[in-house]
Amino acid sequence: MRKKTVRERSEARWGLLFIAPTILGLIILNFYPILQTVYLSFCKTGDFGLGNVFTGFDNYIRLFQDKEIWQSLINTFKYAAVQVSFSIAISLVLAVFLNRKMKGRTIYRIIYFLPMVCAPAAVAMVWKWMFNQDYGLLNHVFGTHIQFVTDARIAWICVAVVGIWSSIGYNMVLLLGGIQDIPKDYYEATTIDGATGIRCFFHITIPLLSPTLFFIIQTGIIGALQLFDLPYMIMDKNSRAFKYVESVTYLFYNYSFAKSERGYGAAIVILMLLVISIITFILQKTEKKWVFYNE
Amino acid sequence: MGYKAKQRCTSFIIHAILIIGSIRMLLPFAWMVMTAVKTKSQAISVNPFYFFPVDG
Repeated sequence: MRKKTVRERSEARWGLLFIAPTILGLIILNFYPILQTVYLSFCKTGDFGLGNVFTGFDNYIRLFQDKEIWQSLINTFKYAAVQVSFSIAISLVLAVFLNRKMKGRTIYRIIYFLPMVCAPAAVAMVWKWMFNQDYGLLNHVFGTHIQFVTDARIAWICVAVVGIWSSIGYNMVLLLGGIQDIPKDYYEATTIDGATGIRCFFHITIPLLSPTLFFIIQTGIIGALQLFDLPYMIMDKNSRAFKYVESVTYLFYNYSFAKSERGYGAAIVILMLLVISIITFILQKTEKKWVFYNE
Repeated sequence: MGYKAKQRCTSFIIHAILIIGSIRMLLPFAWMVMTAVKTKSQAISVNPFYFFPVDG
């Protein structure tokens, strides 16, 4: 390696100084808690909830034998698959529609973005009310008597519907930004060659939008796997259906804070961390195959 | 169908889809506003279209 000149060394020193506040914050607030969680996952909470007793791999052995954990993993994956795919499909169509020049474009954009502005927990309360079997709006309008949130087969779909509803606006805004970055020349060229709207959409919009789509898919999957507030607020915790809707993060909350078994809770979180890392890794590997960057 | 008519048709369909979507998006907010002006017993009554309570 070449020896650095005085000037370069001074620049490096100043650069480190400037990023020091951020790095320090990350280390104290993010990295230290992560290491602490890893350590905690090998421990058992002591008697009367005091102190941590080191127990080795006991928590992990218990984790792999626990049916509840696997059920909640399945629930979370089901939710993530439905929520991410539908939300992206709907918001993609919306973004294409709202990109053209038309009347009321701004009003539509505001309406579709509105759920993002609200507190998720408050919105979930309203949906819980609407799903109610006896006096809920949906059953009243359609004249049915469906057990939306107490029937195990449809409860998770209801939760996913709320998830889709609240994430459409955010995805739509990102996709709109991506669409507006596509140069108009491509569309003009294909129109001259005789392509119609749908062919334009599949052969120009989607390939040129793939970086934005990739970003949305990745953050969407990670966000959906960390699902907590929707089932927590919408479902009744004592209902029979709750077992088939509860998410991994809810189990973590339940063990760490309600049951005060912090070691087991930490082990659940580590499992989730591993699962999310593996999915992210696979997604990053597939990136080269279908994402085109417009150089 | 002429070019103009075709354009109008497409625009009508898009507007229809967008309006139906908007209603679905706004439904919970409408419900929130409706429930905000109700008493507790009215809020859990069987008829959710009880708009403005007469007896305050």
